[in-house]
Amino acid sequence: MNLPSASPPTRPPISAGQFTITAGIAAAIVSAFKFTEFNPLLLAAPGSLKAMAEFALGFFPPDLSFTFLATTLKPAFETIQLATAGTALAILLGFPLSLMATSTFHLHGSLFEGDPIVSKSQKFLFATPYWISRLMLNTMRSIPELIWALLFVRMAGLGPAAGILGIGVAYAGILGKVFAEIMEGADTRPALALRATGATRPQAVLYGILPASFRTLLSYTLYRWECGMRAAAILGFVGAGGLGQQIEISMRMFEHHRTATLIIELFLLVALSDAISSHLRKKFT
Amino acid sequence: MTGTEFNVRIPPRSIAWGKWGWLAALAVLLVWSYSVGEGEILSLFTREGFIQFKSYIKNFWPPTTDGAFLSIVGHAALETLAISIGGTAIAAALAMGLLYFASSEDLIGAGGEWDATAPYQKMLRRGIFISSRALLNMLRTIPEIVWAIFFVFAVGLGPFAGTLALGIHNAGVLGKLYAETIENIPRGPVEALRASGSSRFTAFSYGAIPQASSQLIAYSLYRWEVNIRAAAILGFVGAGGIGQQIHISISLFLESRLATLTIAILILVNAVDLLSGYLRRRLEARF
Amino acid sequence: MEKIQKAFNLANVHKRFPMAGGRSSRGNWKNALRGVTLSIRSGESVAVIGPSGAGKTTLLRMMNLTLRPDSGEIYIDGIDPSKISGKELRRLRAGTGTIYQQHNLIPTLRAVHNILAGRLSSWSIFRSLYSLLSPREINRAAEVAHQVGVLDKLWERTDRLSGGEQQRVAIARTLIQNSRHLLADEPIASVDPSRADILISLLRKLSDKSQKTIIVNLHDVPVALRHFPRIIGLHAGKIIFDLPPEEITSDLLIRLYEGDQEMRAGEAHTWIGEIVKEPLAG
Repeated sequence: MNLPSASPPTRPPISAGQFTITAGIAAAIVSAFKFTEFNPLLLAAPGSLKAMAEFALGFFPPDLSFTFLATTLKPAFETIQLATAGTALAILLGFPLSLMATSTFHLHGSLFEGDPIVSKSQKFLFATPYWISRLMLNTMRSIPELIWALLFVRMAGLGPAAGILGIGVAYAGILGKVFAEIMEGADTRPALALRATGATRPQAVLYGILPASFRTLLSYTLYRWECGMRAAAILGFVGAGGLGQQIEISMRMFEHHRTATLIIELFLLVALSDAISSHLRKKFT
Repeated sequence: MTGTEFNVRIPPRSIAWGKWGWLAALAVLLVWSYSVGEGEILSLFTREGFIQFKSYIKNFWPPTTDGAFLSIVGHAALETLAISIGGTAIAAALAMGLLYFASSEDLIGAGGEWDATAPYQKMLRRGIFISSRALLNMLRTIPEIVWAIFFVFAVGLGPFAGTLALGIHNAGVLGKLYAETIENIPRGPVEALRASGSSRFTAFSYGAIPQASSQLIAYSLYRWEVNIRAAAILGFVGAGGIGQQIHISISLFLESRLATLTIAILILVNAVDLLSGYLRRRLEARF
Repeated sequence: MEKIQKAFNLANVHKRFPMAGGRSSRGNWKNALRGVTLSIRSGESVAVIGPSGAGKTTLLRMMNLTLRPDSGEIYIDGIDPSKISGKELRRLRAGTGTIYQQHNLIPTLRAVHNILAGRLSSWSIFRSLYSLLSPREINRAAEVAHQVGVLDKLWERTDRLSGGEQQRVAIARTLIQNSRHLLADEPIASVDPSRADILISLLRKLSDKSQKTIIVNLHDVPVALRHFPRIIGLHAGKIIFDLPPEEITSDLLIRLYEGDQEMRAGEAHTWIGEIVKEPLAG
């Protein structure tokens, strides 16, 4: 075949940006491995293999005796209670914060249109709750729920209460941010129309934005509740009760056949909450 | 108005379930859930509870800032970061490795009506599919902390165990996300490649994965944000990172140290969130 | 001898699909092909025409070994696909190149990769994967890209190309495949009439040069009549006629398009009348 006298276009060079990012990521991964003394050979060492095998085999068969299963009933309920109360607390704390953290309500954005001239100091005043709530939400969600729970253990004592507070605060941060994002993404025209009729900002939000966003907010809450089940289990490791605590105890005592049962129960619990959550989300959205 | 009276009847509420039924059920659920922690939570609101709370909070300020401790914290923070990066990388690699086996026949077999349909082969494929998905499920269900304990047992204390724990657990999480993503891509290109004579695996790698690749990377970056938080607490069971320092500080009631550690975590988590968000935005722009 | 010359041989092929949204158990089937029998010699040029839903695409997918008949027989190059498997089956598939109506390109890959995808049947899996990072056989890709006129877009991301350019990339993909046979499903459906002729001429030219068998599904009857020496009329899964263009009467065309949802009876009559008035190419 005869090609034109000009040679085919050459491959465009990789842009400097792309190169730095790819190289950066590769370098980060390599140094991460070195820093953590990554040594796959260690896994294959006879000692390790033996330890892993012993550990894993201890899981089979899971302890399915009636007496044991009966003792796991209360912890299972505790996990549900932990997750539910924690999520409820998260909404209680997080929702008001999210209202303050929605930029479209506070910053010189849409809901101010139609207002008489807003002075600079008024703008600053309105923006303050926004910045403060964003900071609070950030702090709440950046600290893992386990650490929150530990902090509360000292105050509320060992037990599910610390777990509820831990999940409550941490999830309030997460919910708050996501709620704010959802509300920021809502169509502001109905709210603006209400403001044009003389409604106050809270009224405009209540009638104009919340009803439209409600379904999405509910959907995300249900998703969080489901995550809460898993989190509740982990919190048990620091004494917040529930299946997690039972898992920790059984592991400490090397009763792995019981650990296996508990993990299966946890799996069932998570699967159940996943099913309920999906079902409700489909039903209401 | 003209003075005409309108006799408007409020539509009768339907009985049994309906809005009020659901709300009542929800209320019961909430009250029951709250009851498990009632005692302790109420005690927080008593006078003594409040005094105890105040004195507890006072211990946190000022945070410890002496050089020796700060260098420990710095090292622990870097270690936590390394665990989160290594763990996420391993998870992504494992999830990719399993993706072909965890993809449905509907995707992999697109355009393959003429392929070998011996019953044993069909069963084998279905078996591999089900086992892969089950494996991923198992990896995700077992909490990271349990994996951490397992790996500490296997390879000893330290960040290696933490990296493995995060890697294995998240292989399950990412595996499921990857499988869901790739399930949604159009089959056309895969079918076209098969029609021109490609093998199932080639058609999958060349035709399916490139369509999903940017979404897969986005999920992995997002997972990194979750993992930095998880890495922070694995130290509790000896798997390295800042968790161990937290454990020590809590056990020895060294609240001012805890304050420093908490600030370190705040910085670390925010840094990762920002970086991850930035990379994801760059990714969207590129693709 | 007879068998070797036959590229495609279908005997009484039936194919049905469950209706979209219907459950096959309840018997909601769509009969796509009903007793189709035809044979096409290697190197022939054939156009398949018929209203939408007639089964043209199904027929094509039958011939490129994507679909399998529910009953009846099919032979490609004299081989019964049900008797072979694995590598042989792939080789048989590689002998047929397909241009799809939806192109079926991989949008996020650059054009060069989509073109090189036509070579996958000859490449090992390692070569295939490596090529995604560093394209192999770039010159070959450039060659076919030049033939269809997309050489300057070789390194563009495929989803940034226009519809016409994407189609030409799809054509390039089949060219690089260098198959014995070429199938095309409605290649001019989204092309404006001025370009339609040019595109079909290009397809014919490219396949005639290498003596490929070429089978094209067309809804544009005048184009079909102008460019192809053999026209097969498909209606509701049955072959109504299989004739050279000069023997096709307006009555045949009416029978073909009668009941076409997109056309009312009176319209069909007028439209066909106009077609037959057009000069038919030899």
